[in-house]
Amino acid sequence: MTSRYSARFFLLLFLLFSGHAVAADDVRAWLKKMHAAAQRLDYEGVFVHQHGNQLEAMRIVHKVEKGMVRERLISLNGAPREIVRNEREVLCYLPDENSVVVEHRKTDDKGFPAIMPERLAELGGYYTMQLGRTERVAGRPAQPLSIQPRDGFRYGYRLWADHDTGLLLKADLMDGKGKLLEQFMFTQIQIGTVPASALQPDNPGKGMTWYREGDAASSAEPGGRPWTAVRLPKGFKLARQVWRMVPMRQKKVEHLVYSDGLATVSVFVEKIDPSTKPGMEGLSNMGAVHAYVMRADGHQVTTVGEVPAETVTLIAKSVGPMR
Amino acid sequence: MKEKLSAFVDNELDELETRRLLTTLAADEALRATWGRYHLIGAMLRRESITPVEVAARVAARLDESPSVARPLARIAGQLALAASVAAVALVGVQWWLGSQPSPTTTVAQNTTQPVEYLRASGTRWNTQQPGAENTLNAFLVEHNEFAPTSGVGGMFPYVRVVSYDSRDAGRVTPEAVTGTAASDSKR
Repeated sequence: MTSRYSARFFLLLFLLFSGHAVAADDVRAWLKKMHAAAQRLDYEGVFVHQHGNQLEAMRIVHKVEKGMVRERLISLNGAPREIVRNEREVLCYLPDENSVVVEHRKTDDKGFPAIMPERLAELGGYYTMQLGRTERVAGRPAQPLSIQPRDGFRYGYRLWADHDTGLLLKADLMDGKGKLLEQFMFTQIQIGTVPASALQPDNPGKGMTWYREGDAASSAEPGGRPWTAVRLPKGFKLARQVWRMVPMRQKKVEHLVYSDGLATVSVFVEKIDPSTKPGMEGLSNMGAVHAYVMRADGHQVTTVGEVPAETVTLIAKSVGPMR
Repeated sequence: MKEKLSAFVDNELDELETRRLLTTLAADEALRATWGRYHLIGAMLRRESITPVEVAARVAARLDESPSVARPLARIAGQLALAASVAAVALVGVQWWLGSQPSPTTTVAQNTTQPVEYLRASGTRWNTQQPGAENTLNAFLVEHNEFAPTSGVGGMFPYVRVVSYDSRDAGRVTPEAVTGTAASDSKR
């Protein structure tokens, strides 16, 4: 009797766990599909973005030509600001400021993938992932995905992917306790060929002042000994290391990027003049984005990321020169 | 000098350095334009409109402390603080502050449609203990965003923050508040 029960128990256990593994695989397959959709599809639509007590509506035009993404974003509330970006530069049309600001993108041609496909396999170690039942978003059948953190060092996500194409239709960002931090949702979307004319700004910047970021200002030669973070939350690995000039600072900084495959934290290390008065240090936040500033060894260390306060603090405090 | 300027924007300069910089600013139009650009980028990232009036008032307050410095600049800044018309304040402010070619038609049109836009208080988007840290944090956030589209999806979130309109501060600031800014600044 007992052995039959335990056999059933183990069978049940086996079914539960294998089911779990299948669910995680399915979620990974959907994440891949979503990633590919954003790089492959043309679409045009209106979405809302809610964060804190702010609610905004935007129109977006997304076009892919010869593997190159071009995008236009138009604010539908307040000043009719627009952003047109391609893989080389970002143009910000700010009619309320009578200005156009042009920024060169610093990442390489392909851009930095939002989701790193090669890291997807490991995600199960730090997130529990599940598929939900088909729902409806923006009038289309959508597949819900739940990605919840296993520890307090990252946020949770609920994503809704278009059932046919995989395009992201809705996203919730939550803290570890499930409290909603940010929401994004398409209210209307058309997927299919978009004419090139739809990428033209409504206000083409005539009579406005153009501000161009200097080309040379963006990247820099390595300066000094490289730094590194010694303690990282589980799963975070160095994804990129570059030297650059940060706009407005006109100072050379080392930029380290750490990622767990979904969440990303940047570490900036810059040499400081010992005579500068101690100023900004400690924790700051802008909505779900946290930053921690501290001084170490004659340098200022700043960590920034859309992660909980604990994560930027832990990483910042563990940064030091490489031995 | 640019490094000094960015330190000034971040409120990191001491009294002496600030005075030196203001003297240079008064004489150097190109540097004023750069200064404008720093503020503009910061404002853009914080999703605010630029607040030339506030900047002008701050300069005026600082110049008051050393009247021998840069009289023309002080005069313009003084006019800003005293102007009766909100629109007029913004008009003068923008042209002086950006150091750009005047384009009265566009600017006037703008001010009739959205007079409060230029006169919003600089609503700090960062919750931070450190006054003046926002510009630095914003600069870093931009760099970070290049590598980390938020929410791990799409890559448009960073730009959403740029184009969206911060409604919290709209219409709150009155011409009195402009003088208020100058007063509080001079205490620093």
